[in-house]
Amino acid sequence: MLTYICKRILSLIPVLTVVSVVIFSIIHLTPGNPARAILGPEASAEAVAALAEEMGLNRPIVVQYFSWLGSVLTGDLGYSPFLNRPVTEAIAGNLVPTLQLSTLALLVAVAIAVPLGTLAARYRGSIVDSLTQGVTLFGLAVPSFVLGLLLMLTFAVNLRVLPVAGYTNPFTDPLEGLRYLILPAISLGGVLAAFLTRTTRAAVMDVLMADYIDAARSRGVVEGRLLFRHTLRNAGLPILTVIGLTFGSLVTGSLVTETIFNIPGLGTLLVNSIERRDYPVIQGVVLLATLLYLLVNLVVDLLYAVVDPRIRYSEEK
Amino acid sequence: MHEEPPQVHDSGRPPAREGTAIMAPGAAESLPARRSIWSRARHNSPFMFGAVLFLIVALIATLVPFILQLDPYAVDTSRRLSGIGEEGYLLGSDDFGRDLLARLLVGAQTSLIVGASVAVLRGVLGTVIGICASYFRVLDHILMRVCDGLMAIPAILLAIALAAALGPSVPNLILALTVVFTPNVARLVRSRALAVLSETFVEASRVQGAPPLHIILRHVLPNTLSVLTVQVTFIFADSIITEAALSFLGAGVPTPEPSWGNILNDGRGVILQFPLMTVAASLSLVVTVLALNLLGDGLRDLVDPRSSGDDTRRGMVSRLFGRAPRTARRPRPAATEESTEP
Amino acid sequence: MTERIRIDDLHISIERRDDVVRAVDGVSLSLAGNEILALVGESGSGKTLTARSALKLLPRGATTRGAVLVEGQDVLSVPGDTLRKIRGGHAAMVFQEPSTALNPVYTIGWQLEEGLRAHGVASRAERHARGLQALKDVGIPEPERRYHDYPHQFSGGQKQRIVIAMALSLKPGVIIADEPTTALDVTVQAEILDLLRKCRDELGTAIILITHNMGVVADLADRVAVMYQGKVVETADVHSLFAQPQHPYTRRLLASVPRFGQAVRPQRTPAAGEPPVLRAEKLEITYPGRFRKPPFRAVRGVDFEVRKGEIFGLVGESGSGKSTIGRAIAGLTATSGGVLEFLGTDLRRASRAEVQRLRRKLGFVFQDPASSFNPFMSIADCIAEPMRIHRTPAAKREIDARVRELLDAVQLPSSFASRTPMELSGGQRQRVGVARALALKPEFVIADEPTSALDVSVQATILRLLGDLHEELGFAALFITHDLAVVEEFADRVGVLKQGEFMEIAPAETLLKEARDSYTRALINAVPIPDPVAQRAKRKRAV
Repeated sequence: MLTYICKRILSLIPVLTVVSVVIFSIIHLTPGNPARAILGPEASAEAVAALAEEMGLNRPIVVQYFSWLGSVLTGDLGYSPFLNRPVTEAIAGNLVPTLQLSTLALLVAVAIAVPLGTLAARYRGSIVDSLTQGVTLFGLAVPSFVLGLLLMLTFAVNLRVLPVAGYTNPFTDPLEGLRYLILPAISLGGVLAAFLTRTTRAAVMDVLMADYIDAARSRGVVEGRLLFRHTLRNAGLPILTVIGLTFGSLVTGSLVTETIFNIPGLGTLLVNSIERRDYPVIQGVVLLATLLYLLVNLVVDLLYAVVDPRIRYSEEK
Repeated sequence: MHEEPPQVHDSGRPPAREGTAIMAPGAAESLPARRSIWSRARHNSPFMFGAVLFLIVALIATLVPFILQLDPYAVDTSRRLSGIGEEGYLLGSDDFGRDLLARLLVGAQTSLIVGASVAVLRGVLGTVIGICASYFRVLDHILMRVCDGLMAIPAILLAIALAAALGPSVPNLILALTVVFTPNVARLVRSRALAVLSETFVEASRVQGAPPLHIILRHVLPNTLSVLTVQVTFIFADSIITEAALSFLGAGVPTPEPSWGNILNDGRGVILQFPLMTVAASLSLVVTVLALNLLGDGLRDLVDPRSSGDDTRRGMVSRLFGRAPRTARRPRPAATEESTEP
Repeated sequence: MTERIRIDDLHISIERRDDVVRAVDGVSLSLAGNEILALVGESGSGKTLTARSALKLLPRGATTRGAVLVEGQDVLSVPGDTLRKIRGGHAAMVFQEPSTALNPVYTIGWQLEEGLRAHGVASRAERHARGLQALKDVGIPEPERRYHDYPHQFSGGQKQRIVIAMALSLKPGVIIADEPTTALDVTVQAEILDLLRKCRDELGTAIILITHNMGVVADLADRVAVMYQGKVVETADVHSLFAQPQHPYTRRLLASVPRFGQAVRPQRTPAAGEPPVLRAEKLEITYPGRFRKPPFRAVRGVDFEVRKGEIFGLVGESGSGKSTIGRAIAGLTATSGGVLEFLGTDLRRASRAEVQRLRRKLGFVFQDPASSFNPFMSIADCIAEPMRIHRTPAAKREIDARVRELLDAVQLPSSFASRTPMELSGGQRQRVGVARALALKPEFVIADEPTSALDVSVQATILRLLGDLHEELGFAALFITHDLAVVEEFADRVGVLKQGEFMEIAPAETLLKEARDSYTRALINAVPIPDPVAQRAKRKRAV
């Protein structure tokens, strides 16, 4: 088990290397001088030169990369000239709402998808199944920000039961905080739920057709137990994997959703930075989201080993 | 009965046929009637529905602005935010007094162009990379690590970062989306190609001394392309969504060029006074994506020579929406009845 | 004797998209305690469905008519609760593929106890004790230690024992055994058959045995029901069935079963003095180890030769390395030592161009006809592929003519040329496989289990076809199989492999009648003879 964990962590190294190179090169993809791009066309040549000097843009690119990598590894993501503070600080200040939104959205998605998908698979071909398939088909065609706008239109603008936009920290005021977060969470989680429902349905259906389900049935095991003890544990593996893999789109989805609902999270920070061409912040946000994604998938893989004895034991031998 | 698709033997269905082989040599065995691709397509409701819907969208987007001589850029501050049919605007006007219908339709053109270009570019690049990787071990390691790295960065984020760095323009947007999503296709093609390479029919070809090019062209490509065509449809839909998201965030199609994302962004500002903009743009987007998804679902069944359609009688609604994943199609007892000795 | 199971006029139809298939069509059977009833028939004859109906384990879309009485209760109409009590309590099932019949994520102990729990054994200690006892009864060594192991830690035969232990744990009156030994090696098969026999003799269990193997029937069954197209065409005592089959289908079925010691084949005397087509000397094939796992020596220094015009049979159990040798000759697996000479050239040292030239002289027939054809190519393209690769003949017209000739040779109509492989049945596809192997008029043909994925009757026709073509074209052949009866019927000389080494190489008739090696004898003894009298006599001798 321990070797498995080590192996899994070691396998992240090449991925992280590629990620760091890509994120580092973002700033150098701009046509012309990055410093000019940041300061805009009106800035004087001296100011551009000064910024280029400050950012170390005159050094060879490889040196720049390693010095950037070095500071990133020590937790220094650079300095934002627009916000007038370190990127790490800016991100930390905006991280909490994003994490709250993502978590809530994931909860919404799992709470809808797993029961619905299981039900659809169990009663395959029934009206429940057909409805599920129809709804998820639409769900897959609606991007989360479109769903967000439509929900906002319905519940906030027309029905006026929920606030249009804004944010209150649910940790300080749970009820009010949830009132603000519920629409964003549903719009984000709903779309993910459509995808997860289909995955769950397929996974459960696969397992339900396995011989060992028939075998357990032939021993007189109750249907409910067949579904919960036998099926879900086996189908859980692919479902878990898909949750891990969709985590990336969950994070980006929450960034987009935030901007709709004016939630002061990473998304708002990112959008403002795009307008300002604040590259260090863009890099920082992308890097953080990537690390989060990789971390979640690492955890999923380790959970996999916990659930599936075949992985656990094959590594021990 | 005549509509039963070919592969019945695999599911052990007609007991009579294998049985008759007992006395007669192969010649006497009968074959089920064939179905042409077209007749299978016509009976595949998701495919037909998606294809027709998509054609309608594409036709309207290309022809209507031309016929009605619509101008999506003409600003008229005196006629802002007019409703349906008011002030000579068929679908009202936006906050700059521009014709909403014109902007929606020209926006559709943008979306379709971006989506199609990205889909084709990704398909081609992904196939080349994937097949190279599947055939050359060393290249495989390098390419796949790069792909892993690119895929680890959440897609829209990377696209935003790239588009922001390259500067907002439609070609840059296409470039960014291609870079971001090609790894998925390459991975898919590679895994499919590897699966094909381990198939017995490739071994059979190797035994006969087939050169790599023969195997790639005759075996790997045909068996991969079928999966890829399906994927390209989904990529198309995906690109349209991502383009809209990027434009909505201000990192996609530059204003004032119309695109659904831009219209949604503009609409977001006036959602309290003028929800029509949001609703109309949302609907256009959803309908187009839905059409493509249906098309892809239907295509998946069509291109698979092994697919046999559904195993139970189904109603119209479930036939339209309720496609079971392929793995689920094999009826169980038939499989256990095959006498397979290892 | 009381009736344990009675099936009365059972009809099962399965609803599909466009039509309804009548899979079981008016079957009536009955079975008493202490009795083993074999259900035999082709794939799709409805035997599995019939047997599964005793537990109401039917596929989606199945509708039934008639009655299936287990200990007097009609399984098809009882309420769910009663059905659950019958399942496992009165009737239990043993599956074909033991590795899929066990849930991979739970320990075998947990799964054993689950059935007991479902039938109201509330005490944990009692469940544990009974679970252990069940493992002991089926002969799992060290049951205490292995109780908490997962299914993947057991061998195939052990898994099947565990599945049987689960079936027996509640002492049901009836056991449905669905091809219980098909996935296992012959020696393991013999053990499992003994175990099932013990169930009948010691526990008085009634067993419905579904099998396509007439040897297994002769060995184990008391009565036999032959099914054909959803109907029982004949039910008889096992001795009279084999001695005087009544129904024409039964007669054909029995006639197509290969039998030991009854092979009548023309003696071929290979021309002496001529150089062998294939010669292996101290041939070594090692699979490299990965991640600290040691390399695996699949073939350990074998010597053999295949002479001109001869059929050399290669037999052995799974993992013996028989397929590996065939694949190595064809160039699909790398060799790691020794000499492998084909038509006088050592393939291990030959240049690429030479190997390429030699490949034309070699044809390969694969085991699974379903996967050995590219689904995107027509039958004609499949057969023509070797000719296209080697550009012999080069002209398209000549290739077309040769394809027609080959289709004719394997007795398929030329209209099949434009069909796709998926449209053909298993037997037809294997004919196409033979045609493809012969396309370049090879001097040597490797056939790797060419008939084991096919029904017995189809198997017989394919073997006859291969034999006729061999007679006509005179190629040398390497015939790889696990089936000793087939090898005796088909091969001139036989090599018996065990764990990568030859135990014995001898002419077919002498080897099977007077084997010198003890492993070969054990292997031969383990094969049940498809004749109840002979088989039972043999078993008596062994005891």
